[in-house]
Amino acid sequence: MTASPDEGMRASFEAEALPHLDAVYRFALRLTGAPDRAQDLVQDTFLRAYGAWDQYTPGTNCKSWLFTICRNVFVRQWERGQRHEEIVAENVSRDGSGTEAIGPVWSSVETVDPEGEFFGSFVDEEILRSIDLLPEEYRMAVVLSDVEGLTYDEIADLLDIPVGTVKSRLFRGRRRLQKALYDYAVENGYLRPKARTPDGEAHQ
Amino acid sequence: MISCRDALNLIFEYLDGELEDVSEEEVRAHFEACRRCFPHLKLEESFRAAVQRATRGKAAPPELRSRVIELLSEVDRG
Repeated sequence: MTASPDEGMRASFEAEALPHLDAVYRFALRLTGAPDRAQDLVQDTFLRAYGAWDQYTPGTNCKSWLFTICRNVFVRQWERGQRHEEIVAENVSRDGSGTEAIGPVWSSVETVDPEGEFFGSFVDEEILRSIDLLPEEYRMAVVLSDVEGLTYDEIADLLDIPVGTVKSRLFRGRRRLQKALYDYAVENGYLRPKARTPDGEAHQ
Repeated sequence: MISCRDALNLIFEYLDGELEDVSEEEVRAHFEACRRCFPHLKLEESFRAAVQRATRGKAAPPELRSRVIELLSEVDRG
């Protein structure tokens, strides 16, 4: 057997998969919440990906393919007993009320932040801490969409869930994250809590 | 024009570029014209920008890249 097929495989892997190392590391960091565990997860992910490289279709979304492997390795090896969190039922109506659509943060910040700059005032560390505290299902959806820019379809494929579930996880994940940041701001005196009142000025 | 409730319910799909039944122009027109909804959009945009700022651009440690390349070579050697 000549060496060329192996060399070709290695070269194509280095050209197509390795450029996504940073993205996979960011994803792993948010999955595990710890740099050392993220590094182990990235190593396992790339080893598995290399072993399965003949199953990858060139020209398809390699980053998404690597995220799928990363997520599977994570779920199999680490999820149990490490960060197992219960997720609330996902069958709550999204459009049942305007309050749900607007979110809990809005009624509190609208008077003090008419420019909508509230979230711009947080330091990165607090945002990362709050992301890491999200239940895993929400965290994955938020990170894949907001951080890595995957489409709803790509996230649905990757997590093996319907697109509607992607939407609801993104919706709830983002709202939870906003609430966590809001609570942090109140606890630290950056924002004065405001009693929840019905919307004074009606939307159309 | 779409209603405020519809616009607010679609705010994430709009920002994600994932609208299906309503056009981007329709949603944009509502937010631009409605002084009650416009600040909501601004708040969501600032939220998204803050999350992206906090998480983007984090590079893997150089030693991790070296270690992965080393591992691939180990596999190649069998």
